[in-house]
Amino acid sequence: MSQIFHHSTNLISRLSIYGGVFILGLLGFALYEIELSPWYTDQNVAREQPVPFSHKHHAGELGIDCRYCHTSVEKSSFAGVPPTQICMSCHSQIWTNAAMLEPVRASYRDDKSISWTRVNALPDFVYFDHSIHVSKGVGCTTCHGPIAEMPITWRAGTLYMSWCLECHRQPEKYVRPKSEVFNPNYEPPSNQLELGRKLVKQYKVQSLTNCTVCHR
Amino acid sequence: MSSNDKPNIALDLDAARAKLSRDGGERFWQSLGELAETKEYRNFLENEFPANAENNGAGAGINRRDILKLMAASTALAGLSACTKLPTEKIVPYVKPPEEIIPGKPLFYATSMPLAGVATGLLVESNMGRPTKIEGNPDHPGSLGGTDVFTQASVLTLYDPDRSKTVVLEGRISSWGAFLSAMGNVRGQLAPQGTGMRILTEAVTSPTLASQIQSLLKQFPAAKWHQYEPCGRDNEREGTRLAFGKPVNPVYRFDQADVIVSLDSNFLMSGPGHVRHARDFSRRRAIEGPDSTLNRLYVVETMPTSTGAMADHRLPLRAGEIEAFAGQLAAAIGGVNDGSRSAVPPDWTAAVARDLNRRRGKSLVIAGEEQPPSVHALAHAMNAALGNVGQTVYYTETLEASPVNGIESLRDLVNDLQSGQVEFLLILGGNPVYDAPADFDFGPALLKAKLRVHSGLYNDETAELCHWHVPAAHYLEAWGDSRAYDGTIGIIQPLIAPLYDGRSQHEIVAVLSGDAGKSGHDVVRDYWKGQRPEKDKAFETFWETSLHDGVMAKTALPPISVAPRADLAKQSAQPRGGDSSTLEIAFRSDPSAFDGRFANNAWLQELPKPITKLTWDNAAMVSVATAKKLGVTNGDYVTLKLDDPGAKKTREVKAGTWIVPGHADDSVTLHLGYGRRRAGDVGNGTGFNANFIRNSSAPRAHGRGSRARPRQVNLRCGNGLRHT
Repeated sequence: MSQIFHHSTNLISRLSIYGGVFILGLLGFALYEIELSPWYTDQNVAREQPVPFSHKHHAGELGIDCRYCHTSVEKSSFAGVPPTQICMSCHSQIWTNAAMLEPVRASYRDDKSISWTRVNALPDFVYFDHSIHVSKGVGCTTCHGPIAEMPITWRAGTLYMSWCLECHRQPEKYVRPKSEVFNPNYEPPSNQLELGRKLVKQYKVQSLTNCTVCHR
Repeated sequence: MSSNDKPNIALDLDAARAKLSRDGGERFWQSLGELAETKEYRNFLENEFPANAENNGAGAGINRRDILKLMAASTALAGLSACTKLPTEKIVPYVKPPEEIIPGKPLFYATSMPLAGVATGLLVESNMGRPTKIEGNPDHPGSLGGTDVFTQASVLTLYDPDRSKTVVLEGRISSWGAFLSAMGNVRGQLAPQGTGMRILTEAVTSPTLASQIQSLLKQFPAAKWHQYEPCGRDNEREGTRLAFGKPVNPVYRFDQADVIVSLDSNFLMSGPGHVRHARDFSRRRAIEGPDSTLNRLYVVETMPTSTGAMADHRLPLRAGEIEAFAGQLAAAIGGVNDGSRSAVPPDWTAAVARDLNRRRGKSLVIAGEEQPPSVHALAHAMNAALGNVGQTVYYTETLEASPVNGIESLRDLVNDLQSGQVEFLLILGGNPVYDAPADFDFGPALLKAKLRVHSGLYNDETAELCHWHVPAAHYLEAWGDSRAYDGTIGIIQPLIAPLYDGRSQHEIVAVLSGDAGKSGHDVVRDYWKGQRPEKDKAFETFWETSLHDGVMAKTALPPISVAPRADLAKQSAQPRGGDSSTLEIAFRSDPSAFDGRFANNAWLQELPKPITKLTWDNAAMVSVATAKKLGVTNGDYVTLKLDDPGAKKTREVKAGTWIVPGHADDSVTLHLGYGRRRAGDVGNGTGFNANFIRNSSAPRAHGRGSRARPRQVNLRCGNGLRHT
């Protein structure tokens, strides 16, 4: 009885088994890389805005407190994007003719809101509250990155769940004294872990990792 | 929807009975079907809502199992959608932020929702300027922090896309400006007397609106104001007129009562102050210490209600026989000598009377709105005889600025319409074409008015027959005021600007009286500025405080002293009692659609009604014995006929039967509020319109049985009812 399969079938089947593992592995790796790439996460991508607002200038060089514009950060889940009125409280006095600020003046004149592009967005199935984080010693720059160095604002983290859990599992690695929460130039000290453990105890920071804390 | 191919869940009442007597003792069951445990019922349960599977349009091939498979597959596929980039979002901040708003935090405002004229005080949650959730106002006497289903669901009506959105003239889109100029012409034509001008409103307790209408009537002395409320307080008002010679407002204090007798009154679920009543009542049902005493509740009622379910002793009785029972009870108490006999066992009556007499000054007799005035009068007489007045019940002037009998008021209007005397008719709210008693033939009569204007939330059955239709502002969109059950004034303050082109009743009446352009806020505020003793700065403080609290402090109507007429006994000693050889029909406001105004509210439609658990439907509700006598079972269609000698014709409606254990025998209960034609996409075509066989001579109950002669026609069209 003659053989059903040709002799070369052995080689082909071997190659396709090894190839399958290799190709599938490569595909998985590519998908993983895409998922972490700035193209997909928007991490480190400066977003175009109707007015090229510079946090570097306002928060870094001028030293305006975060809460001057983000008024509700200590009271509400939402930090608040400043109403035009807040912009105009200064810019009715300085740079009153700057062409760059025309959309702001137009908004104030015509009573039409400026439509900013959202930089840090969480999916709607995630509950997040700014006020509890800032009142427990989580600094602005811990999540929002070196905001005092951003001429145009970008997203500093991936905002993935693993990114959140990194801190939720080990808050002592990130917590800072409450007085430093709104300091955009804060550098963690060399003894961060030691200080962090102390602050976690002092501020009664809980390591909340239950699903329903955020996915309510 | 075809009804022929639906399985009929046959009820085996005998099997259910046998089971009950065999099992003995306490046995809990949810429905008669469950009790009987027939094979059909088990199949029905296994298929769980076969009607729904049939209606999903995907054909008969899909069963529950397939749906589960599909759901699992779609859940798995939903994971794939996570592999897309998040869309770019916009943040649109205010230009100038409103006071007190913190983005992300809700604000709460106090307001009031009037229903049939009587207000419940509310605290409404507002998120970034949008009202989202309604709860009771703890400072409001009619609420004390509680609400009912209507107030809870009213926020859905606010956002109902079926609400009317534009001013309409003869079916075409028009504008508020055009309406203003048309009303200017009307004013010119009807001046100076206003002959032929008629205004039809719902029950008005708003002091501002009443004063506006009265000043309009002063401007046009020949004009007339009619009020009609299909599920209002006509019987109660006429009952007090009968008892005291003038209409007054009884205020009940259930927290003071040790023994309560309800004569067909569903005081925990409907009627003025029911939210407060439920609170007061339940407070006396909790043992808080060694000195706590529980109250005792006797309920005599036709249709089982939540109040009946709370009763310590409940007796089902035909609506028409409750009057005889009331007379018997009054005689037993010794208050009024009444010679009537009723079907109630004398020892039952005697026991109730003994209990009442033992708690003189701490007892309460309350009559249901659907009972005729004579029963109300008897209840007042009994309370007076028991020394309850001033203890568990007190009387105030009426809540309505102009208390009239709604049915008679509407009858006057219909007569004027028929004789062609009406030049101009303004209908402010309400839907009389749908809910007027059938013998008024309101629709055709309405057409005889030369110019008809309707204002309402929906372009409904009445709007269809009017020249002008002006969208009404929802109570969450407009300024106003109204009274609670004890007369306390609550300001209605809007939480949002009108979503559509809605106008409040204040604004429309202002147009007619020549104040066009005056905002609802100014109308209400100016009225109170004129009424209050506070001036200037003090008034500002008073106004702000009242808005903040939701109530005007110390505006509850003071108790007045009234005594029942001495000749009441003679009047009510007429022989009474229904003829039990005929069926009687009892009309009730629907627990979820009310008089039909909430028909397009899906939350209320979806809400199972108390006791019957019916949803999206009304039914002819009968007792087990009556169903057996008539040979009908759940879901059978019956035809209910009403002979109308005036029009020389017979009116009829076809209704699905629903057997309600605990219903009075030889009696059929129909809920109003269904069978709407122009309610909107949600409410259209649900149920049947019981108003077709409602007669103006007995609008709430055909107590005598002879007027309504329902004949059952056993059509066996299958399960015509949806049931959860």
